[in-house]
Amino acid sequence: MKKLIALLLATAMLVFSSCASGSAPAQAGNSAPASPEELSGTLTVMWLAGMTQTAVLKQMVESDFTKLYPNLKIQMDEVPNNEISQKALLEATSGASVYDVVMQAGTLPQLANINALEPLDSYIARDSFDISKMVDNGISFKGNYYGIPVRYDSFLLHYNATQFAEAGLDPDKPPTSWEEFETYGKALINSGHYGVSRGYGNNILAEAFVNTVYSLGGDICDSSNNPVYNNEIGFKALSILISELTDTKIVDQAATSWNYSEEIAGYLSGGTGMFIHYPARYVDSNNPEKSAIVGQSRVTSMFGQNVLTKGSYALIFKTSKNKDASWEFLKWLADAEVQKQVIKNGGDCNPTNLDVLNDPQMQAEYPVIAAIKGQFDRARTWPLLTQTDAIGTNMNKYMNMAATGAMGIQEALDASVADARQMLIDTGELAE
Amino acid sequence: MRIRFRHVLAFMLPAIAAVAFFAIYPLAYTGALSLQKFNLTSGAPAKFIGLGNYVRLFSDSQFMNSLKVTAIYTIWGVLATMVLGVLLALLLNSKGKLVGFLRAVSLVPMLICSMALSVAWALVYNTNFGALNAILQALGLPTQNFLGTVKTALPSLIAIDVWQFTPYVMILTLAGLKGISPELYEAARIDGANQMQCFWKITIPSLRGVLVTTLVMRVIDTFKTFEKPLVLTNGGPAMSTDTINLHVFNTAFSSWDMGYGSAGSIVITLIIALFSAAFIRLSRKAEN
Repeated sequence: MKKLIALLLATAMLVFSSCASGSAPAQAGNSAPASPEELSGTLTVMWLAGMTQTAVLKQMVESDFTKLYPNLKIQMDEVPNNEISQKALLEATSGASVYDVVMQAGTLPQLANINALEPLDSYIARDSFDISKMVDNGISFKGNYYGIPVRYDSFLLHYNATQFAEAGLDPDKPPTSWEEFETYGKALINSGHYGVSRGYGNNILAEAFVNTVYSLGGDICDSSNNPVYNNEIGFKALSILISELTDTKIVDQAATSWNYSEEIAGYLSGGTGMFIHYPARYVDSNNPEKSAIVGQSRVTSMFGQNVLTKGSYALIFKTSKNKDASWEFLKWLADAEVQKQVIKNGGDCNPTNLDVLNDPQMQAEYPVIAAIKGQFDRARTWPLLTQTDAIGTNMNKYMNMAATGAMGIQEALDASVADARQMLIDTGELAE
Repeated sequence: MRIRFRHVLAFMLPAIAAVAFFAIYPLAYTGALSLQKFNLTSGAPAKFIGLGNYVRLFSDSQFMNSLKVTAIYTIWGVLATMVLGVLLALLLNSKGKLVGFLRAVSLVPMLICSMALSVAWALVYNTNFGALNAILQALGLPTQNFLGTVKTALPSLIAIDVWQFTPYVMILTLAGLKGISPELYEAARIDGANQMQCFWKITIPSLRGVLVTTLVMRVIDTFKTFEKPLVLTNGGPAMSTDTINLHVFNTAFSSWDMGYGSAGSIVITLIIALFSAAFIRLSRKAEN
């Protein structure tokens, strides 16, 4: 009898422990992919507004995707870039979101950490989807894939060939180091143009800083998530950016109040010879509705050891009732032919499928794709932490203080790192 | 008596429920949240930490800076709107088509949505192609980076607030002026009073109630300022326009530190409640 009880207890413990040892891996809705006709209902998508690429893609969704899936309705709610992350997190925490798919950039760790996202690993395995053909702009977190990349935004060097020639610079030889960048900037100033368009406002400098740190071979956090950007490299990076404003004065002095749109306008208006920015600016520079420098702008890979890369991805909310349809939508967004068509239809050249990026014909036709390809192996994302967004916001504040002289460079970096550490300790991502 | 009380209660119940649901519950919830360590993105459950968030708040130099910025913004903004609003009301307190037209025109800034208005002012203040700098250039004066320097950013925001809300003070004051009996002025003039004496001895005392109410509304409104610094400066340069509401918003919705953000919100609520109580008391005293 005792043996029987012990056996029963052991069996019960075994069953209980197997249940308690973490959640089982998420399973794809169906064991096989559904046929286009089988998928029905309404797919609600939180879509990024205000980008040329997303606008073109939206049109293609409405025409091409709906043709492929005739029984599936698609509702795309456009949300501006500066609101989309807050909206997604608030939707996620509400526990009753209407959205099936959300487009995000940089917020995947936050959403995954609160269990708001559907892991895609089982779908990837079920459909033998080749995820290695997609760029990694931060689509995985803690060993799971959660997103399919939609935009690949890697910092590139844009420059005005006409202004280069006027300044006695060779348009075929853009700068290859920060030292040369400064020299070129001074030459442009002497010829009546600003050297570089850069915003020093309260919500922008962090990205330029991180890109500069990466280009100098530095890091934002070490391997244990400890923020280290107040080190020698961080100091040098911020010094480079601030000296452009205060010492060499190769940027417009009004740039202390410039944010995203102003620094773009600074380049596209023809006032500035160089601009370190995303691939989308190449398309913008050749759009007469947005640019006064049509045909003058060239683009090349960023110099330095590494380069900052980000971009948007599409995620499926765990609360979605149309997970299979959502996955089909994500796969369609990832398709090489769809991405080529987006570019051909005038969308930004920031493909996420390596078949497009590696296509010699696309590279020849769109120099910006060749430039992205040229730095692909050096591309690095922001650290994948739940507090990355907050750390960036915090960096912006302190860097603006350093740029306006309210704080010394080292003082600003130390204060920013101290705050970043506290944020990571508070969320348990850094040991106290 | 008991039946009457029940009837009264029955009629009041919907209002009580609405107030409880829309005002008391959120406030109580925010208060409870302010006593907890709770980050929305950490995945960790909320943890009670007593007054920890408040201690952190008052030892946070950025929060203290935002209090200072808000105080400066409120004092100058309210002072200027009150003085200009009363002056305009006195000027426009007569009849005639032109006066009517001017009154109508002066209301326009108040009718525009604050977000749209802020975007428009961003263009006005723009260093390279803004209207203000174009005027300065035409006058042969150096252009200014209005929103880009610590010295000019906050005054530039205050100027927008004054432009937007002076008509509000003007309208309320005009309404007050219409309520003053002309006989009072006639009697004073018969007694030999000059215009200044009439203004200080009749107009101002008669307007006291209106002015105190307007002052309370203006202080509360200005203290809560959010859209203008958000759109125009996002608190910069060097946190010189980081008002308390913007600071709390950025804390709560960028780092998602809801406990800390809630503590900030409670402090804002308490400050506004204190202001209101003080002004209401002042108003009652004035009436007595």
